[in-house]
Amino acid sequence: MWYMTEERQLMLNVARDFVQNEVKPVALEIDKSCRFPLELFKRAGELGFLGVTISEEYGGLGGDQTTLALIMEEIAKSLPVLTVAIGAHSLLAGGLLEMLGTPEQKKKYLAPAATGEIMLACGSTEGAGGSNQAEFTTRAVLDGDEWVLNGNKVLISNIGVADVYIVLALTSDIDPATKSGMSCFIVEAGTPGFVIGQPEHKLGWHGSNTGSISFQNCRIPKESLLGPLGGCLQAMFVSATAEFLSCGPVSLGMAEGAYEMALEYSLERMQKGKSMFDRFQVTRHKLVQMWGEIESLRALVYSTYAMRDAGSMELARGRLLKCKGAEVSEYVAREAIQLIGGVGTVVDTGVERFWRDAKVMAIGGASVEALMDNIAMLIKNKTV
Amino acid sequence: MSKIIACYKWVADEADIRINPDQSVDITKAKGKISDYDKNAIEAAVEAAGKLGGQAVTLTFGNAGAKPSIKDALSRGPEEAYWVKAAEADQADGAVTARALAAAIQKIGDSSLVICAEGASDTYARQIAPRIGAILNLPVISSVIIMTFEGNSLVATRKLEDSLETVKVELPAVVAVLPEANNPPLPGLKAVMAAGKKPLTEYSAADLGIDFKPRNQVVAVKGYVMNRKNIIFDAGDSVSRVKELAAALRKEGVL
Repeated sequence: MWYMTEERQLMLNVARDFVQNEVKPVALEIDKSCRFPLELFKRAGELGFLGVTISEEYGGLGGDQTTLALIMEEIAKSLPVLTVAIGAHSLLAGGLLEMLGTPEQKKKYLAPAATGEIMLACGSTEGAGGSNQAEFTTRAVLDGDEWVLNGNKVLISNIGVADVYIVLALTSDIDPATKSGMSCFIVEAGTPGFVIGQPEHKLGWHGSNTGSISFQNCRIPKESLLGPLGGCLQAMFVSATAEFLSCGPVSLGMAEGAYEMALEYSLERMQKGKSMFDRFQVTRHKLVQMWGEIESLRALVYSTYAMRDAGSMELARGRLLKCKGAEVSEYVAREAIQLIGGVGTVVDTGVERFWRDAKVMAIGGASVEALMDNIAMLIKNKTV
Repeated sequence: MSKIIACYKWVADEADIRINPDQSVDITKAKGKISDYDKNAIEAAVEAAGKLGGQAVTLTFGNAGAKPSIKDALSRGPEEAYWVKAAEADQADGAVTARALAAAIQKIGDSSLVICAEGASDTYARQIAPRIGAILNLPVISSVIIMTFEGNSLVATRKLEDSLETVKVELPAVVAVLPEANNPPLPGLKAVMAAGKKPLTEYSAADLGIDFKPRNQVVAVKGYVMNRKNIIFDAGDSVSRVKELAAALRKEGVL
């Protein structure tokens, strides 16, 4: 592949070994039990996967986004939900810490996050405004030397297992002209008034601790402000864009995982002395269409990442990757179940979970529809 | 600083090797990899350097295709790599490979220990360690599963057919380790990045003053068919069928 270098290939080999020997054997069990794969997350930290894009100064690799994409793709072939935890930790929360943190904050939180010593979560989404920060109701008020937080967040990843939460809260109403008013805060788990809910039982992403958190007169030190007062909206857009981007390789991995299972089944399942692949033209054609969609997505993913690493990616392309990725992974997983037939609907077969995970991919973080509206505005404004 | 040299071979990944219907072996789609057993040798060298002192280094004899192995091997802990680079490596037999490695070991200079795997995962010929020992006139300990050091001596436990043998030898020496010797850890991404900054020395035939002409010539490689006897014990009750099965297994020497 044109985007592969010797170093990336070696790193990918490490990811493949990890997935083959440590992730794959427990992937189905994690999906069925809905338990958070803490041991895999910690191991990902030991191997350096959590700090790929974190600067070397703070214990990361200072690597490029393409390397992270390759690793995310590989993990998603077996356990997409682990990439959700990594994305929330490294891209959303880690991204905000890297962009906004003081040297002291980075040393305290980013460095141990790079190695998985601590886990991060990002508290952004709210029940009323969804991912639209302008409609948020969580507020922070300075009282002496402390900030007092009040409000609720929903569908937050890594709840209950994260040690540190990067929380968005209004410190004044959003100014439509300057977009100021939104601030970031560092809140440690166990802080009085910080209440963590139970993980939701979801259609897909089983094993991702997704749920609500709330702040009830939660007092945190004045130094917990992350970045400029009222000026973190742009940083949030940047870290969210990194997460939207990562949906591309994750979707690609999910599609490949489902496709490989369907191909193997089609070649091995015999009917009247012939494999399904050899007996039915429709089987062959479906597989070709699935493969074609996967390869088209691969081209889109890695060309977009190359632009991102070169600093020339337009905002719309990050959003497009999530939209296209969700569409392709859902299509391929659906067709894989169809090809495998009745057995494909059985949870223990392990293919239907790709479809469930792909369905959540179209919604989690920001819905495809919301992102398409974003893209439409960017097209209208001729910024694409 | 004295060196502990881990020898390894770049082989075709057996997972990618296909046997064609005519029993010919297709390795055209096989990716290369460090022989799995050689990862034990590399880890043993790193562990030995930690206990004995000195510097763990890697040494391989391979053609240009073995290049990806250099960083891979270095990411596993050794501090320096040596590569006897020759197109002839593809066709080399055990004698040529051992000559090349032994010449490189002499060129490297001060080395306290040479560690090989018992065999490579492609041919498992088990020739390299004994041959290097013979060329360099060094003691050889094969089938090693445990290594401890007492001063300048190596105390090694050998796993034999039905017993464990402990031997002691003055260093320098050549050792062949079994997979039970250790559990090579998966290198992290930081180690992969650091590997690119570690020194590599390349040797040619001219540098070593030897030729790589093999005396053995591989004329064919064929897959083999395992013929099963397909005996089914289906007469009588289950007790008599089990007795029949046990008798047949005894007859075959399985029990």
